[in-house]
Amino acid sequence: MLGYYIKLAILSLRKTPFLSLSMIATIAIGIGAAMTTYTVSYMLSKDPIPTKSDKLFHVRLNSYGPDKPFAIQNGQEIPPKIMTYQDAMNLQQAEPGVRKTPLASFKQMVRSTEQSRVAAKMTPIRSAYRDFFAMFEVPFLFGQPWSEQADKAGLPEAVITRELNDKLFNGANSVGQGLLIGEHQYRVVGVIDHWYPTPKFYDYGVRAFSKPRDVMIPLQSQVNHTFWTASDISSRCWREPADESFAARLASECVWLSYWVELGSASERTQYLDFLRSYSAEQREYGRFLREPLHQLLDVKEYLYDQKVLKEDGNIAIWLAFAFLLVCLLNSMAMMMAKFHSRAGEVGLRRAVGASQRDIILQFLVETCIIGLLGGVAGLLLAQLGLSITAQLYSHLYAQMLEMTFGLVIMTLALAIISAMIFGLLPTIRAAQTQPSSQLKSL
Amino acid sequence: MRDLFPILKTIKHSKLAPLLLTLQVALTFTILVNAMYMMVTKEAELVKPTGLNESELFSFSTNLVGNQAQKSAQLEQDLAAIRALPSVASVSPITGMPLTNWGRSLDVGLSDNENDRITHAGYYGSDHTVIETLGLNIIAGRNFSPSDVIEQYYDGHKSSASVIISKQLAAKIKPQDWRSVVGDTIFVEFVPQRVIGVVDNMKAAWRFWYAYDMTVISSVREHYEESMLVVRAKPGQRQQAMEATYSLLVQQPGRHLDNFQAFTEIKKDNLQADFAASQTLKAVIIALAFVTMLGIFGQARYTVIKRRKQIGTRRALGATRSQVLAYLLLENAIMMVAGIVLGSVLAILANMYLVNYFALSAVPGEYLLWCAGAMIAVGQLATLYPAVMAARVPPAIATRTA
Repeated sequence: MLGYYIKLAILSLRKTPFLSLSMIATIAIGIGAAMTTYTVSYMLSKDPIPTKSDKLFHVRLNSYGPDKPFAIQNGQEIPPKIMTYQDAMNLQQAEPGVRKTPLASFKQMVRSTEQSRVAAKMTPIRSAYRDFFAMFEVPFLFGQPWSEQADKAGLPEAVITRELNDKLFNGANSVGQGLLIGEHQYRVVGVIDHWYPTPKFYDYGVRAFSKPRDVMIPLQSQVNHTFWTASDISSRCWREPADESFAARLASECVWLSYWVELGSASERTQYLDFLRSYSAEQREYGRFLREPLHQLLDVKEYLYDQKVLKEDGNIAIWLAFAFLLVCLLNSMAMMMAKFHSRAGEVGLRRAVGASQRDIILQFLVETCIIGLLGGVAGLLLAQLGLSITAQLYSHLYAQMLEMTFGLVIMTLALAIISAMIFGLLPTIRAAQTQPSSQLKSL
Repeated sequence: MRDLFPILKTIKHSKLAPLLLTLQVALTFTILVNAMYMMVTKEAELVKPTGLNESELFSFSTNLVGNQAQKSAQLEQDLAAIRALPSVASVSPITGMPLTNWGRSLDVGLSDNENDRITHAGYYGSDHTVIETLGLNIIAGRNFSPSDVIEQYYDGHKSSASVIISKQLAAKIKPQDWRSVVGDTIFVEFVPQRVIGVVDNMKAAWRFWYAYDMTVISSVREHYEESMLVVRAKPGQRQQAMEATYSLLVQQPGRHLDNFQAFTEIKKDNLQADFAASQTLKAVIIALAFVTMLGIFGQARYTVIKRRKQIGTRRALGATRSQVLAYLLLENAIMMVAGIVLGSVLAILANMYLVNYFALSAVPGEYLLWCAGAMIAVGQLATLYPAVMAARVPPAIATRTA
């Protein structure tokens, strides 16, 4: 029976090509607009690292001085969101089994050893420990993370992204090649493959939708070369460093490092919190940490809310897009109404020769279903177009992050079919109510 | 107009289809009014001038090294070397650039008493060349002279000097006669500064700030580790000037060059979100018009086909072609007006919601009128072809069955 209805539906759609196309186009435009907006907002707020978002924690310690808190939020004191160098180094040495890394950043002129000075480009650089790559599941195209030795001694080893590798080394395996960061020579040890965590959860909130940095080096080598860019890193001090030297900054109470740990289980988490408690108490004995011991572990989601990357409030664009879809569906509903109404004669005849109201409803539902499916497929294509235009318009959203996932594709088709069927229901029921006799008379 | 009552009767008779169309028009109108208003607001943002000679400017930050004397000497050297380039018209050190979202906002008042504070203002420190470099227009008082210039390592606003202020700030300080501010002493962050001139337009670093139009340009030149320079190229030679400046400076070992950008790029980046929003809204409006026309056209065409026999009968009974045409257009107009009336209520409600939750300003009444006119025009346009088709129905059809 279903096969017969499908045949009937296709016949009916071909009988009124203009109206059928109009209905399909209307649904397609609505679905295209709604899904473009939905995809953008979904991508902006999705879990960037689903396997680990409840295992990675941002660590905070209340190292602030006795006079003033770091900040007050909702009437409560909160610990600094970043850390001093001495605390980061102390945490690095403690709890040996745990993966952990401090994060810092700076900018420097970067070029390959082959290039002339004029070709050097100001490049944002990330400094970390090698656990970064394993913790954040960074895929490698060539080579691997720098060695443990490089972490300890601050060897001049660098990991670069595939994009930079394409630019500087034409995409060839550049492991072992030279890289000049400022006036210092580095050796490339690894090339990161396509990797676009979205949102970029480990960075400051304002940078959540920028690409990962093209060059990464061991934090100790940043320290060795005294790389520092005041405008690239957030740094606050409750007590000014002893003097302007880099060594004084390292020894100071200034906070400027982010700190992340990976804790697989609840017990590891409790254990680490215990460790932070005893660390804070120990520091207090040395005359530091004189405020409330407000140490915290924030998982990825909590961190993203903290950085205002995720927000509770609604999204104006989504509202607009779905209101627009509603208009489109009302439009195609009115067209279905006209179309089904004009087929009263056919319905009357089918009813007269024995079709029940249920049969008629089923037949017309199959037809709306096909309209919805065709509208959905066309809408999917429109949404792809919409996404590529959106990526061009919003340069801070790079094209790679705005690709529809398989789930979203299924959702698009389902939305199209279901909404077409819901909005086709009223015209269908109206058509099914046709009295056999009233129509047969006029035939 | 004598068709009015028959039409209303027909609508009353077949409630559902007209009701649907009315609802659809109402919803469309709601979206249209709000989208249109948001788009016009965004577009207005995009064309606002900054007062600068936008097309010829570029700026960058660079590093100065050594002790203070060495830094100052290096800055002087850099300025001289860039000025000597054939494609460069003028160059100045500056503490920030408009629209970069990075700069200083300082208190402005009439005394060093906190209670005499008038407003905030954007602050730029530079030297006597800055007015010429930025292409600003002095409309009262005079330009800086070399003897006004003071040099300081950092936080130049802490020194007393000569300042030039924007007209908007002058009008804020002296609402009755903004020109009279020239020669006065104002207090910027509680430090006395002598106003020697007024420029007609100069913006602060943040576009959405209440004091975006209020700025103080001071004659204190800074030579900080991360210093910024702004260059004005000779007309039409900005690209050459940028390349020449870059390769001149980058040749020096240890030199950093950051944010090396034409001002048009800075402006584009700053306006990117608004530009994208206005483009999206435009697309929504066009798609909305298209979908509505398609819907009305499809329905009207179908009702005409359905009513061929009725139309033929009317024609046979003496109705002229233009009467048939008018009947269908009027029918459409009635439903559009009903939709628009309902839509106006919805539009205002939606706008109130938007104003409350998204901090937008309220839609002015004239938008309702403009959009209503546009909707009726769209409806009439979409009905026109089916109506012409109806008018062509031959009267003889009345004599045939089916």
